[in-house]
Amino acid sequence: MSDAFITIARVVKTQGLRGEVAAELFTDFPERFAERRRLTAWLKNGERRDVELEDFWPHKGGMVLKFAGVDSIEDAEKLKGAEIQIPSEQRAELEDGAVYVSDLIGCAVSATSGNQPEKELGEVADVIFGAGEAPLLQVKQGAKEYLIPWVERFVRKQDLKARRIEMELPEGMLELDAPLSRKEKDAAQRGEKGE
Amino acid sequence: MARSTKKGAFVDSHVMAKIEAMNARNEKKVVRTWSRRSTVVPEMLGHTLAVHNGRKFIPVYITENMVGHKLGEFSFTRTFKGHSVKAAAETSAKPAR
Repeated sequence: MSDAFITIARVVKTQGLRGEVAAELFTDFPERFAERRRLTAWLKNGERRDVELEDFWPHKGGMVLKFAGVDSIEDAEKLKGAEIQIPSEQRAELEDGAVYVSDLIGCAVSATSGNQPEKELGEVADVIFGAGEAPLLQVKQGAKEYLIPWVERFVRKQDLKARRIEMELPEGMLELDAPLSRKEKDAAQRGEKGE
Repeated sequence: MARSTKKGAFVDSHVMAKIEAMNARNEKKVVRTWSRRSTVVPEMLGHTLAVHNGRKFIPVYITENMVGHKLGEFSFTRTFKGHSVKAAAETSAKPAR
């Protein structure tokens, strides 16, 4: 995968008989298809092809795309599985404080937690949504994995150009999977699970 | 039928005791809990609760919009393997305040 391009959609299947394709979206800005007419299709065989978007409309959580010159279901079949891309410099501007997930992935993370000295935790492997308002940074180093809520007050320094994030975490964040202490076990036996 | 407002939100007493003790000392430690049934109450704001999902603890940072929901709602129990193009997609994230 080239860093020069970013994927905004992937063709899932053909749609209808006139060459339209149904695509799943990989962009937070689907409305920008209106101004993004010249796109690149990265085909499954590794070939890159310039395509011109003629029309698009939302459909079942995704988007139906109609490209110029793709007028039959047979032509559309060739695009199945292709990633629809734009040059990375054409990415949309983000609001203050927001960053692209792709910029976070691969950043080295170091952190202090409670009285512990600074520790290299590894690299951001993924950003997980759904655990409340704070996205979870999945930081991996070999088999070891940390889940860290990405919260403004936990971030001491963040330099995405240098691919580095320094954090100050509350006590216990790095020992989530530590075995239960004697006190915890006693509490659990009394039916009071929880530290 | 909704729970009577007279009773207030349900929070397991052992979770609440730990939160109140930390608030009294003005400290922020991660609290590990199995109590997915406890409701998020304003006293928990700014704390991080590690909520067990049956396999491991998921750290949940409590913010204002979560008040009234159950802790279990934020500790996902199923694994979503995700999309292979995530590393090169135009999706954004913002840290919680």
